Amino acid sequence: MKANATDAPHPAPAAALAPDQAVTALYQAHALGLIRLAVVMLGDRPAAEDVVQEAFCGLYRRWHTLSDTTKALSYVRSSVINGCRSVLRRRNRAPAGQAGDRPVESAEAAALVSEEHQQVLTAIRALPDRQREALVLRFYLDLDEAGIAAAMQVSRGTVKSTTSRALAALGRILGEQS
Amino acid sequence: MNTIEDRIRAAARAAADTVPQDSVPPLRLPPEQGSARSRPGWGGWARRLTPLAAAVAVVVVVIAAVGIGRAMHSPADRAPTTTSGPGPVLAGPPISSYVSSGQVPPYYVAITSRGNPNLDPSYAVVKATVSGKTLATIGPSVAGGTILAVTAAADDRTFVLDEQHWSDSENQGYGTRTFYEFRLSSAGRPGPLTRLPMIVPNGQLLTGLAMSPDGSKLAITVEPDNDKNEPNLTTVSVYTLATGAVRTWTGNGTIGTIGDDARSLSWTADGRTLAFDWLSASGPQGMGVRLLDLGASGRSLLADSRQVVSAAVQAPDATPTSTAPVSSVPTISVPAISIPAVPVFARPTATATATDRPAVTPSAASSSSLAITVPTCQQDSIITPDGSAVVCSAIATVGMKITASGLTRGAVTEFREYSAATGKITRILGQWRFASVGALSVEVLWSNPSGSVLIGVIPNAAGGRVGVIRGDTFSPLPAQVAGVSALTGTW
Repeated sequence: MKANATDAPHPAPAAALAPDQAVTALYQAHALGLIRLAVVMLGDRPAAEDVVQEAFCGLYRRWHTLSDTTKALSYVRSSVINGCRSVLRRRNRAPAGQAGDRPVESAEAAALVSEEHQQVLTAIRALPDRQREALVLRFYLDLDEAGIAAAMQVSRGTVKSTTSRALAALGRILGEQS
Repeated sequence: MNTIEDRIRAAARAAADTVPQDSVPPLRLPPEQGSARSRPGWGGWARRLTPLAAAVAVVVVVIAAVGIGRAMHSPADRAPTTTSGPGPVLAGPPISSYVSSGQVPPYYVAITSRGNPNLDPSYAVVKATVSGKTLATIGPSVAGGTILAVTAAADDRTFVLDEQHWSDSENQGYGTRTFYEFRLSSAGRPGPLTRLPMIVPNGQLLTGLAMSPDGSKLAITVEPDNDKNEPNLTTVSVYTLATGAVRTWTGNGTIGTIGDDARSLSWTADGRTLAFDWLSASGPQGMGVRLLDLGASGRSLLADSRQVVSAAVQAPDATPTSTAPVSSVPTISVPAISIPAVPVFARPTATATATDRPAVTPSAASSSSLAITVPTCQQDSIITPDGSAVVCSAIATVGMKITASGLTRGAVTEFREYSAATGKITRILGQWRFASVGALSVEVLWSNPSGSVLIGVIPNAAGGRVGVIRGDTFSPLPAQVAGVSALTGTW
């Protein structure tokens, strides 16, 4: 089963709309799924919303340069993934002990996620960028290798090996914790 | 027991389900679509191979935590500044005066694309610094190629292009790289392309390249085993172009943040030191700018280099930003308490009260929405050619507010120079305040020998502006001529 919202039906043909209308329509159709994707990556709802907003603003700024607007969703999904990567790297840059070195997950959200899930999510977020992204795209969005390769902008071979390594690493982390 | 895959699926869906269906905030588009149409060169900036570049350029923001409160540092700890705090951008002399006096090189090479650089192949253009006119266009050496990056020698005549086969698929980051050198005539006309002997094989990730100032060497950094057994392994190879000889250093970590980054490496003029942005595989304490001693006999990247600027401890060493005299400038202290990051699109809920403000006082802040940060260096710092300092560009968001018409924000910038000997801040250029900005663009593109004159990017209402920075003055380059922005310029 695929995750829902990022696979929502495409809005009206983008070419028929003004850029702001086209981007807004795309946002309305896919924002929920992309915010959820970013929340899985980041564990931080406000940051997830910011990443998605910025991704769509970036798409809007570049709309006139898109030679194929049907690739807009692929573009904005890649932007969200890369935006999440930037957020996580900024967190890693924070001085030790300050708020930036950990997800600022809200108490409300944390309460809705069981300890088991929190443990798995924490382990996923501790993985290197590409490993984390490969796992989330594979097991949350249920993308196939080609789709993951497109979103991560790597080769299919890289997807396969990265996913394999990520699963092994995650198993080790969770094994050590349990 | 559930498989690991099942556990991932369940955990991810649980996290996703914390976002209710009816809770998506409205989209707030920036107001500059019209200007975007008039900025055909924006794609050139974004062309750095992948949307990651665009994300880095646009989302450059904000440190993770901000110290609150003030502390008086000892004079030795204070950062000498050219100003007493962020102020307006002061107009500098015309670019022509810089070029005619030999302070700034007359030509640059930029990378651009006829469409979206993520979807269309790119090529190089030679431009005049003063007029912005395109003097020549240089396509890939072979049909079906794309040019990804360019690096220059100090003579402003010798350039190397980084090229690979173009594919409209997703594999641009891992294709085989080839390298071509060309020279400009005194009139800025390019000679023939000469293929250089090295390649970066298919499957390896090129993370940095930089030509030595005398044009005799090319430094290339690669993650050679990125998708197999050693994802953290980085190699730095320095090729002697005349002989093909190569020296290689290895270490566990990452250089730069994007592929084909011609700004993640920089040389000193004597060719003895290579500066690089480094993220250690061991964690954030190892993130910063390191200087590799090219005369060292070893092969260990870390043993033969030393860290000059640590990104992890930047915030407590943040620069003075008040209007107080230098002798009594308060600086941001290591915080007794901290507040979370304020991302680009801050939520309406204030993260700090007005009384919590550090020295940075947002000029356009509303009481209902404040983004208070201190400037933080972005990636791609460079070493000055004389080897005295590492220059980084820093930016912070101030005065962010959300109104009925959308989000507005201001910014403060600094171009900091850290002593290569001590790691202390020795000079700050471009300490400016911007009431309203679009993208949070800031970057150092070029430095004169001592770092007293820079070419850099500062924010404006759109994607940023390139110009010459000296003290607190800024002399803008012609914004866009013939569809190519100077934002990707290499001098």
